[in-house]
Amino acid sequence: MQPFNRIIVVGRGPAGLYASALALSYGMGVTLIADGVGTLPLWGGHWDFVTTDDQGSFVSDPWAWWENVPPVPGAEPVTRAEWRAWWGTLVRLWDAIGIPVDDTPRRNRWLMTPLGTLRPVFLTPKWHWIQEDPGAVTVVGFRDFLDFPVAVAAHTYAQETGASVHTVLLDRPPQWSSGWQALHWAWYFDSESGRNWLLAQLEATRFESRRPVVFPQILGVDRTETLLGAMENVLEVPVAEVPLTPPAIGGFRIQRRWERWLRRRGLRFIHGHVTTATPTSVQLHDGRVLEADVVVLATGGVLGGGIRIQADGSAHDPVTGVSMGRLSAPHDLGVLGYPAGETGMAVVGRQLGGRDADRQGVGGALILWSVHRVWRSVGIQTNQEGVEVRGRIVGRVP
Amino acid sequence: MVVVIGGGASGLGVAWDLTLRGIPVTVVEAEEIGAGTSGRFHGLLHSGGRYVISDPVSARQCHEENRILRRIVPTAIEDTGGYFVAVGDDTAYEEAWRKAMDQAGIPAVFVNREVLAARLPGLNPEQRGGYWVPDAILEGFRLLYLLRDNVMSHGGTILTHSRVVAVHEHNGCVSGVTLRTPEGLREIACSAVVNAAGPWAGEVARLFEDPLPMHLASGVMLLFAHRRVPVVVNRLAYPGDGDILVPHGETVILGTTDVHQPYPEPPVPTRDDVAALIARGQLLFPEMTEWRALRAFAGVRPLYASQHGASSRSVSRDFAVVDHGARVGFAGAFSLVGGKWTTFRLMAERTGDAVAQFLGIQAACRTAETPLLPSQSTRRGSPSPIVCECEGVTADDLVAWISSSPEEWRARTWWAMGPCQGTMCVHRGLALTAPSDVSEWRRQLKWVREERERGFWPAAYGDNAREFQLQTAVRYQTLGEGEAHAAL
Repeated sequence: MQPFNRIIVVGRGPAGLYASALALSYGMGVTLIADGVGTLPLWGGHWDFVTTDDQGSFVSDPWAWWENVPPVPGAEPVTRAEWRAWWGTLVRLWDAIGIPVDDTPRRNRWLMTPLGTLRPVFLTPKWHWIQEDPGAVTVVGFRDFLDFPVAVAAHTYAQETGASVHTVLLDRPPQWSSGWQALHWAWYFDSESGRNWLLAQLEATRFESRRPVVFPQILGVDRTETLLGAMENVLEVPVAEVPLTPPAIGGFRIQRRWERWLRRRGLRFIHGHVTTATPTSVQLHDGRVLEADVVVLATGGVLGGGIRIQADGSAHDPVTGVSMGRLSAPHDLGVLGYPAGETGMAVVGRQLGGRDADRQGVGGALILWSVHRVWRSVGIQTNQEGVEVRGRIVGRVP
Repeated sequence: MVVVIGGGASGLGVAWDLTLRGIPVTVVEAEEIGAGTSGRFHGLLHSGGRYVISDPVSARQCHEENRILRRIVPTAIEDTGGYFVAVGDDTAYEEAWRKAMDQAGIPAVFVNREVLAARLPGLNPEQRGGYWVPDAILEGFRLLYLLRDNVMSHGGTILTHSRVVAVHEHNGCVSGVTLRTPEGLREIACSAVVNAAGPWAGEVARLFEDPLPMHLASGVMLLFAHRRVPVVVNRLAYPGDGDILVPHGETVILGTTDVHQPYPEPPVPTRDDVAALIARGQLLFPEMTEWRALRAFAGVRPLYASQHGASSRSVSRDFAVVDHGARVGFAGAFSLVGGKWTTFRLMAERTGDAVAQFLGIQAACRTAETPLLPSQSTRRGSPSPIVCECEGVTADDLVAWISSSPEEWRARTWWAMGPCQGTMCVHRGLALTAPSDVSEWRRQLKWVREERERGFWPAAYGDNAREFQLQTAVRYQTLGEGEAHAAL
């Protein structure tokens, strides 16, 4: 019993990849269409549940916060068990893909930003430096790598936490040139010479003992885990990273691993621009029309390009023509999107309106909720036993 | 010693004029160099064509000064020339305009519609051809800093973030001023004061107990990310909204609106201003709604008018040197009011004449023959990391101005002025100051963000709305710039 086998997902941000990964695991045939690089490299890889309440204060227990709160206005609240099942699915999926991640957290932890401030996060790859209680640390920067201003970060972190901060400024490598940005550094550290250079620097530098060492998130692209392991051998303390501004290496790593995994499982990838979408078809800029059982719009809202703002302030989805009203304040840009009610389209991630993923830190939760909602609406869901299609178990996830 | 109030084009121009006459000067600027009208204009070096009907005196002055500035500050001028494009069927204005240009002696060469269409892709197909005129592009901040650097290298003093709070007299003559500086109150002895405060000139004149009638009007301008036109483009009509395009580097500026206002501070542009400006601009380029916008900004025209209530388009762009000694017996107090960027040198010359005569100094104006020399480059030889990718600004470029404010870094280097509007580079740049005071650092970051957002938001449509949202995402998600704080 395979009621759907032709799925089209438009968009290659986290919502598009998550929708595609679940559909593949359900045994569906998935075509992913995207016209750009997607939004993954904009973001280091943390997966937010909720960071900030409606009054602007940080949330420490997102499980409790979501009790009786609908994911977006007008939707039904989600039970703790459902959230737990979805987070579990994501954790198992990332584990299978090779994105190192811990079990589902019980509460928000603290992530250090490049400016040394702290923000709550929920699920992150293991590269990120996450703490339950912020404590003493050694912060490491590199000369002429400006995305991680070590002095500022150390000052701010010490001031906010009262913890002791030691800073180390390493030199720049001999290959460095003035155009080097985060990605150059990361590829360099993936190379044999880059790795050896860095380990030699660590050998030659004195570090305070018994405190974690935090680096900017440029420690390799595909070989990060190997490098981190080698660094921990030298330093004999945990080593982790602070995610930086785009291009964010964490998101870049995730995208490479995740898309490779999807392609190996038979995902068809079309690099093209969708001009028109209906619930069961899309038209590409070259005139081709592709039919599908379900078309999933994961086009990322205003940030992803899925919502277009006109000079007069009106907003609409350029591929469906659906209108989304008018802007009146900057805050509206993050809240615009499809309503929770039925519009006929299967819409996931930021393309849905109602909550501000950036200011409120609910982006990850909204992706989980909206993707699972789409598949449930066509009769598919996951549970403890595996994948269930219209009441029958057909496989395991992932 | 002469104290000049105002660090814009007119104030620095007067300071330079007096300096070349051998008269020592101190310029007092309340904020930063060019923080007022001089840093907030469309960048047109007028040929005179724009005002030849509405204001022929100013038009002639523009034409003459245009030729002088090309000689003395070639590094701040891009000589593109410009077109006046005839759109619609108002042939009567065109006829009158041609005659007036002829009378004023400003060259205007007819260009037929086919040539115009080829030179200006996307131009309204209903155009009837147009005229080439010697318009050019004036890099305002470059010229302001040339003036500043030259005044200082000749021994002049320039104080920013300082205000004149009192002017003292002795026997009816100016004897000194009291300044409020960041370090506190300070007295300077001087024998003349020149009020060149632009839109604030009316307020400053109260220090002389001789209020001046100003006619203040704001103009909103819109900056696009691509150089859509190779030369200046004007619509051939009585000066109105959205009828001029001035290319700058890789961008182009659409100007302007014209709204009377009672106060000198520039207004924050609104989305409605931008939409209205584009609607008018579409008379020249119908596809303008699809152009990639960057930001909007507003300046205030400091026009001088004894008659209030007139539309500022009809108020003269001419200027006046007011001698408060002749008016109210405050000898040595002068105000320079009205005028245009293009004519700043002439304005300064007339002011310098009046001040020199008052001081009894026999020294003729030398600004028309004296080139403004660029200051020495301070770059070191070794490679420096790029801070601002959009505008190619390196750490060394910024470090050269490290002791000044972020506002001056922007004006000097164009740091944070490109398509990303500082999303990727503001924190990198501020970190170069090696701050020890975190709260001061965060205050500066917030200040730069707010300053950028004022112009970014009204132009946040199309791809620029995505860019705006990217900045929000980076600020809140990656840099943790949100206001939220939790008990740790």
